[in-house]
Formats: sequence, C-alpha cells, structure tokens
Amino acid sequence: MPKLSIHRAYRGKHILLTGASGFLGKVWLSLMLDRVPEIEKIYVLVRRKRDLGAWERFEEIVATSYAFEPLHRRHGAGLGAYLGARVEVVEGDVSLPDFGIEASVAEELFRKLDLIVHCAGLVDFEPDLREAVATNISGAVHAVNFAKRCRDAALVHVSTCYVAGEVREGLAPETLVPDYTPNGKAMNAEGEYAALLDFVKTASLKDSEWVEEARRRAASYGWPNGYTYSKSLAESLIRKRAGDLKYSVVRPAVVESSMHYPFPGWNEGAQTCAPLSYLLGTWLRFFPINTRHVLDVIPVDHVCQAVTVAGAALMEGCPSEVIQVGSSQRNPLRLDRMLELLNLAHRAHWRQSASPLERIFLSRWDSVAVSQDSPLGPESLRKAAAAVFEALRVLKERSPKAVHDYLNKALSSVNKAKWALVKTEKVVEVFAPFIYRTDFRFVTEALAKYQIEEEEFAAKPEDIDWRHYILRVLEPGLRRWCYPVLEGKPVEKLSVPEGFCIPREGRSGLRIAGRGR
Amino acid sequence: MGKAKAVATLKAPRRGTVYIKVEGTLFKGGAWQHAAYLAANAQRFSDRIFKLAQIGLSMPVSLILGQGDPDLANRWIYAGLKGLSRDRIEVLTEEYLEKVLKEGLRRDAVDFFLKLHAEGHPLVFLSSALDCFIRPLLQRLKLGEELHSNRLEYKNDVATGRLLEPVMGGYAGLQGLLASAERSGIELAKAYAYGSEHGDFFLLRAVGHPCAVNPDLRLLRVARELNWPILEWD
Repeated sequence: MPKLSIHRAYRGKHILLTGASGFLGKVWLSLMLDRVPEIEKIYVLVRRKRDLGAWERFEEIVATSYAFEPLHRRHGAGLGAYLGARVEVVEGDVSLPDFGIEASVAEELFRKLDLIVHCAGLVDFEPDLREAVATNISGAVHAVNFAKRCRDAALVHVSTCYVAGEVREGLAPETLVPDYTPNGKAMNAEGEYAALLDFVKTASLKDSEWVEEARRRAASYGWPNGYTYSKSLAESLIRKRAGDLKYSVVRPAVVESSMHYPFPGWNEGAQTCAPLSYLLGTWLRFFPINTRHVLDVIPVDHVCQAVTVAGAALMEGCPSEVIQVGSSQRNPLRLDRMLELLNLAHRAHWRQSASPLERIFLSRWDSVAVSQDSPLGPESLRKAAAAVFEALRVLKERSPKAVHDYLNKALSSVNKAKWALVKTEKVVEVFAPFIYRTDFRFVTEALAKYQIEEEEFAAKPEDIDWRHYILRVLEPGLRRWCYPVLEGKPVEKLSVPEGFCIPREGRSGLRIAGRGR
Repeated sequence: MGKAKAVATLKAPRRGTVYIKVEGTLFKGGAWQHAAYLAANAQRFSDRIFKLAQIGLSMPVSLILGQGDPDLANRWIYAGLKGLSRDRIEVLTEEYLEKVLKEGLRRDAVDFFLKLHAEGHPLVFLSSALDCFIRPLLQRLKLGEELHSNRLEYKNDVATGRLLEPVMGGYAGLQGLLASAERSGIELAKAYAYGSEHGDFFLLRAVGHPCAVNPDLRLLRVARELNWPILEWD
C-alpha cells in the first residue's frame, strides 16, 4: 500500500489549475490554499469574460464565492496579500491550443510546472455539441499537449464515472479503455474527434439541433447524453496522446454538497441533484424513480481530496491511471432511501413555513416512486392538463361573455401547471438514465490503496451517514445555494470588505502584458 | 391515602430501586399515540389510513382478546408500522419527541425523579413505547440510562411490524424483568414503582411501595381498593 504525505508531495511545487471558476475547481483551490500552504505557487487559468480581465474575474470569484469563506475567515484583511504570494492568475482558454496563454508566459510555465490539474469542463448533461467539443474534448487534448511540453509536469484530468455509459450489470471498472464505447460499437477516438472538429466547423444547425446532434451521437455508442460521450472521448484521446506523460484520470460520480470543506452543505449551480430534489419538494407527488437502483452521490470535498491524492501520487511516483470517486461500491445509497430522506428533509423545511398551506399540507405531501410509464407520472399529468386546457378553451368559446373572466383565470392556471409539467418532464427525461434506466455502480479501489498520512485528505465514502448527510447537509445546502438558481432568484454571495484586492506588484515575470490594472 | 398535589408534599422514598413506567408518568400519552403519529405520516396516503385504522383497533382487540394484559395490544399497535423505513420512523420520532418535550411533559414528575436520581436511587424505566423514542427522551431529561422498552424488528432497514423479544409493556415481559431483578439481588419488597395505566397493575403489585400517577379510571379504582398512594402531577 503506497504511503503518501500530501504536505510532502506538494511542498515547493508549481501547479496549474484549469476550471477554477467551476464548483469543483473553486473548492479544490480553496482547500489547497487553506490546508497545503507548502505549495510554492498555484497558477490559475482564468478566461476573460466580456470586459472583465482574468485577474479581475479571479478577484471577484474569491471575493464573492463562499468556497473561499475559510480563507477569508483565517486571513481576514490579509487574504489579498496571502493570495498574492501564492497565486498567479493566467489569462487563457482551455478550448485554445496551449490554453491560449501568451507565448512568453507559457514558456515560463513549461519550465516551472510540476502538476496540471485540469478541472475545466462543461457539466451540462445535454450540451450543445460545439461547446462539448471545444471544452470537454479539445480542452483535454490541449491539457495533454501542454503537459507534454512541460519539462517535468504530470496531469490530473477530472472526468466522470458516468463515462461507463449505460452499463447494466455489475460494477463499472476503474480502467481506461481507449476507443471505449458502452455498446461495443467500433469507434476510433482520433477519427471521431477529427470528424467532430470538421462537423462543428462546417455544419450549419440551429442551437437546439446542436444539442440534439450531441445526444444522437452519444446514443449511437451507448452513452446516455452528450456530456458523458464527450468526457469519455476525452479520456480515450488522453490515453492515446499521452506517450511518456504521467497522468491520472479522476472520475467522480455525482458531485454534491460538501461534507466539511469549505463548510457543510456548500453547493453551487443546479446541475446535479438540485432539480430532482427541488421537484420532490413541490406538489408533484408521483415521480418516476427505480427504487432498487443506486444513485452514486459523493460530496465535493471528497472529490477534492481524491484530486489532491491523485496529484500527490503522480508527483511521488506511484500514480493510478484511473481513480473513481463514488459511494456506490462501499456505501451504496439506494434511490428508495434517497427519496425517503429527501421527503423527510422537505417535510422538515415546510413544517417551519409561515404559510398554513405549506406547513400543514405540503409538509405531508411526500413524493412516491412510480414506474416511468405510470398514468400518474408527469407525462400523463401534462397530457391531462393539456386536455383540461383544451376543454376550457372550447367551453369559453361556447359560453356567454359574463363567465369569460372566470374561465380566463382557470385557463391561465391550467396553462401554468401544464408548463410546469413540461419542465418536469424534461428534468425526468434528462435524469432518466441515472434514476430509472441504469443501476450505475462503480469500482472505487484505487483511492483506497493509498495510505494517506494526513487524515483530512483520506476520503472515506463508507463513513458517510446518509441520513445525516441528506437531512442536515445536502438538502439544506441545495435549498440555500441551488434552489434560488432554479427559481431565477439571486443567490447569496459572500460579502467581503470593500476594496478587497490581490496585490500584483513586484512579482515574477508571469505578467500578461496589458492585463494588469 | 389521599392525592398528593405537588412534589414538595411527596415523601421521598428510602433508598431502593425505583421502577417507573414512562408513559403516563413522565409524559401524557402512551405508546399508541407515538405509533399513531408515525402511521399518520407514512409516505403514502393509503398507508396512513390503513395503519391508523389498525392501530385504532388495538384498543378493542386488547379488551376483547387480551384479558387485561397489554401485550397483545402492544404487538398489534406495532404491527401497524410494518413497511415504514427505519429512517422515517427515527426521523418522525425525533419530531414526536420534540412535541412531547414541548407539550406533554409532566414537569412535576421530571423534577421528582431528577431529585431521586441525584440522591442516588437506582431508577429503572419501563416502557411499552419504542426505544428510539424513550431513550433520547431520558437522555434529554438526564434521567439515567436503565431502560427496558420495545425495539422494532427491521429487515433491510424496513420495519417488519414485529417487536424484538422481550416485548415490554405486557405481563410476560415484566415477569422476565422482575425475575432477573430478583436474581441480581434486588428486593422487590423494598422497591418502589410508579405507573399510570391499568396495564401497569402487575408492576405496581409486584413491589413493596406502589404509587399510581394520574391513573386511568381502572387503575384509580384498584389503587383506592388497595390503598396505594395516588399522585396527580402536572
């Protein structure tokens, strides 16, 4: 069993991080800055966004994201200086060769880097094919090429367990098979990539058609969606192009609210369980879920620990090609239990509501699992709502004007319900592979083989108490950070003292010309 | 002996084991209210109706078939919880516990037993309610740890509707407990017991110093006949 000390492995090292504006990237960066101060420098690749330069964007991220709350708490007004000494922001874009980094800066990075942590990725399950190719596939190719040009850098690539596709039996193995397709249909990754680049360059499609095209290509090889297809293709290309490069692919399952770091419950966006959990807390009662299946949920800080271990193992010479991070093998959470716990979590919330309707009725309105073709499912309800809408419309045409006001109100309510059900149906469709069709379970042996000296980096999914996690951590976290996104409401932001900035004077030559303030 | 209204007027027992039937003594209500709360909050509406009906039937069933021994009623009540998950039972029990602490506690009783506990009396709590409800209640009240209560049987974390042996609250469970107490040297003739329901008659009769607390009509009648102290605690 290889022994690893995270502090020893990272001492004095230079690391490049991509995807620092994403959920996982932010938590990992914050964790490393907080817990592994021995790192010499972390170069953070940040894309310019409209008129906001990379530095300004990074400052804004650090100043407003709760992922950095422990750093603010620890360093207070001194955080800017602390970050100034440890972080260098590099403007770039993963979809471009050499990440689009200015040549002189890139040259310096080639000399200095020990590790590249490639977290950047599009996590939309139903992506536009152009974006999936640019970010998930080309991004990974550029990461390999960049790492290979470095004097002695290793690469940690963050992928997903779901590259396994719709494997129907047993545990998905912790291996990287080049040119892998879930349904066994022959595919040459390089050929597929070339064809994709060509298609993206030449085809003229509407936005919705690009999404459909991604879905069509994914389905033809047995992947449930364009996201997993693009991530799997990226893995194959890494394997084929790596040559002598030391690399490790970290595959998390469903990345969810943090268990401990930055604090229990931290979450961001609305990509994973949030839409599902949200719907279970509404008046929708019947939900198509296969209760015997497992949903592999893993807290984001566990994934960050795994990424850290993968990097340490690479730098210490004992890497694993693939590290899967999930709970389904060691501590499986069946969907019936997840549904039960989410029902109870919503109940706890609605019991505190000021509205009697929510407090008395919604708190007792537990969702129930049904089969996908159940007459009580969202699809049937949507059809029923459409039928009622049509009947009301006809009734309005044939009734005297005196009752039109009432009928208009009824029509408006039914129409609203119908559209809510259309959205629900869409969510169900997107999540169907994970909650209904396939029982995804993943081997997670690689991480367990390392003996980590620092307990705080030894992620143990088997120790997760699901009841505590879902009731006290996950659902309250989703409610605070993710449901507002789904409702189109503003999300709470960290409030730091005005004038917070990261000093940039008197630093190394890694300045991007014209980018400084 | 007349009714004692408050703790201050109650003469503290001499040092001896004190048996306390929790339901009715420490708080208002019994095991069936807890079970009914769980049943009324089952996941499916249909389950709520059937389970509540089953629990509601426990009373007449006990009267007709149980011949005064609550054992059958207890088993019948918990059979109504069949199919509920461990998560649901334990989470709802936490809710119910808060409700009891807020609304149903007999503060006089708690103060009295806390005093006995502080004085070093061995307190033995008996309950026909579930362990997952009564144990945290006693912990919250800091009333000692010796508890004999009922435990549900689970299969794959789903309640089977059966109770694990020994089933408490009935005659058989009590007999086993008292026999074991005597084997370990406890003199029941010197022991005290507090109960509130007619079903606690066997317990009260077994000790030298019985006491009826807020007794139901049947126990009140028996207590008067046998000249047991009767307490009315708020």
